[in-house]
Amino acid sequence: MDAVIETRGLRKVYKGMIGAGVAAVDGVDLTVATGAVFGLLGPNGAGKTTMIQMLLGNVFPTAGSAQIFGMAIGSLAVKRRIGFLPEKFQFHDFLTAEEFLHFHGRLSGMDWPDLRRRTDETLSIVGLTDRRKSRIREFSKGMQQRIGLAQAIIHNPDLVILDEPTSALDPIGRRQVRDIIGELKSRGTSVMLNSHLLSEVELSCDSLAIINKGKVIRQGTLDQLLTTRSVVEVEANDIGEETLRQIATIGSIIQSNGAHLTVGVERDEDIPAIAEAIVNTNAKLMHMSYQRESLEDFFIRTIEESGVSPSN
Amino acid sequence: MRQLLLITSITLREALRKKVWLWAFVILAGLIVIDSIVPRAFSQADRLQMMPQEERLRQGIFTAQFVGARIILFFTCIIAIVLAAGQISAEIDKGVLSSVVTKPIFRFQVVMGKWLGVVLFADVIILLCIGVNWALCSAIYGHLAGYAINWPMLGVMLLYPVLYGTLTIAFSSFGSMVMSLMLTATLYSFTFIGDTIIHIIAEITQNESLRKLEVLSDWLIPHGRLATWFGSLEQGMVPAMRREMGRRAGEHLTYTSFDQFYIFAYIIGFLLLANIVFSRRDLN
Repeated sequence: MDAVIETRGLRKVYKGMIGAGVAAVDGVDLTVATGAVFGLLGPNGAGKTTMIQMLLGNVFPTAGSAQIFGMAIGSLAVKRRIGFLPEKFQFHDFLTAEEFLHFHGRLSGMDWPDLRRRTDETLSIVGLTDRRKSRIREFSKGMQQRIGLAQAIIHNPDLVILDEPTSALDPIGRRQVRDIIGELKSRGTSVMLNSHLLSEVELSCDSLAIINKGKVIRQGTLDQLLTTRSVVEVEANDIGEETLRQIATIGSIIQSNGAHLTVGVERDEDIPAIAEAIVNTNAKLMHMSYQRESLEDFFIRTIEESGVSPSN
Repeated sequence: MRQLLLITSITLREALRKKVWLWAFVILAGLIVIDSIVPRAFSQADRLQMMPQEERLRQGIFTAQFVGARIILFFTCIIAIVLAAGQISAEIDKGVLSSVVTKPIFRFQVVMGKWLGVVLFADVIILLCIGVNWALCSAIYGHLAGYAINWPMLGVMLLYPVLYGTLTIAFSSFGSMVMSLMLTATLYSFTFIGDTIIHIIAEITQNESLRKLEVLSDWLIPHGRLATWFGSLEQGMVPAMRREMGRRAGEHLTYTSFDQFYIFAYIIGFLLLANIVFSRRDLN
């Protein structure tokens, strides 16, 4: 597998006035495959933004190494091939949308004919063609985020890093961003997505890493991560002690409320075993449904298991 | 180079947007008042009746120019300081720089582009004000106001915003906008007090400690050295009476080549400091 991003033991310690300092990123090993849409998840203060800033060369690592396209992070050769939309986006708002894209395109080293063509294209992609002569200060927050996305992709980068790209967008805007990410992926562009909107990540990403307290606690493809645990909803009459005892040997009973049971299972073959346990203990099975664990459930469970609440 | 000039052009546009150029109107208003009042006051002064009318007017015009130059310098230094203070740390805090520095651009190009933008903006205002001032005097007083432009003097004037802009940019590379303003203002106040109040008291009292304090202020910020250089060039244009007044007031308007060297070394040193600090700091 070709890796677009590869980090080994990447660490960033912010030194305080006294004491040993705080490790915002603590020995992260990360591999992002070329052409993949990769999600970086974690609660607030987990170290995601520091991680991204290190990859961009804006923050210097305390230890470890990182490579993008097989080259040292922060080099001009790498920067030429990266597009970035910051989380805290504030741009030169006295520029018009067109001037803004020209400025960023020229900074990226584009020549005028290419820049003019790509300005038209990217404005169309982010749905701001009719506002090309408007000043950015006249834009809504969502429009500013869209023009920010346009500056990230105007130079046709091979890797696009998006830090909370939909935080100011309405559902239609989010859908547009999802489509843009899909379009980038279809062209072979790698995307790193840091978002709190787990449903967006679930819909857009091929693989992800969950980071907490500066460490990667889970990493893998979406399929790998979400099939490790599923939930079975059961409705049955006459559930007795024996029924519950037998089910508990198969999976973990998440909730038991009279005739309603929610059971977590690790393997697909556990599902018929639960039905068998109900029937064998003379309970009457009325309804049974199977749900794959959502990314949100998976995320919250993973963070809770790691010992820090997501609201921190 | 293209990247550097792009940063310069965006800095200039930002300066225009901030309407800092409105200060130019304040300067011009001051110049209009001085140019219309001071020469007439000289020509009508009873104490100068022993001089021919034309000479009195010439003295008045020179004095108006003398005061006008200092008004221009004072306000353009403020313009340079205010513009430079918001350039680096403030833009990092606001998040404006985060999408710029991720582009294929060296960090020194960001610093130098911003520095050039600040300095150019303030120096253009100096040139504009001097031009307007000259045109105004010529319009009011005709041939009496006509004097050859002293290019070295103009060059030294342009160094004032360079000095203060560089100093503030260097502070802005690690400190907040308020901190950069405070540090520059503190140094400026110290050198101003050193060159005026402390200098006068040291001359009167012959106190060695005060003399050392005055020397220290000249080392901390070479405003005094620049002022001496500027004044000495101006002295070449001073009419005889004003020169005599200066001598009686004990003005020491001699500068050495070391003073010139120190001014340029100071500016280059702080520019290097700004680049080193910015290239090594985390931008988050």
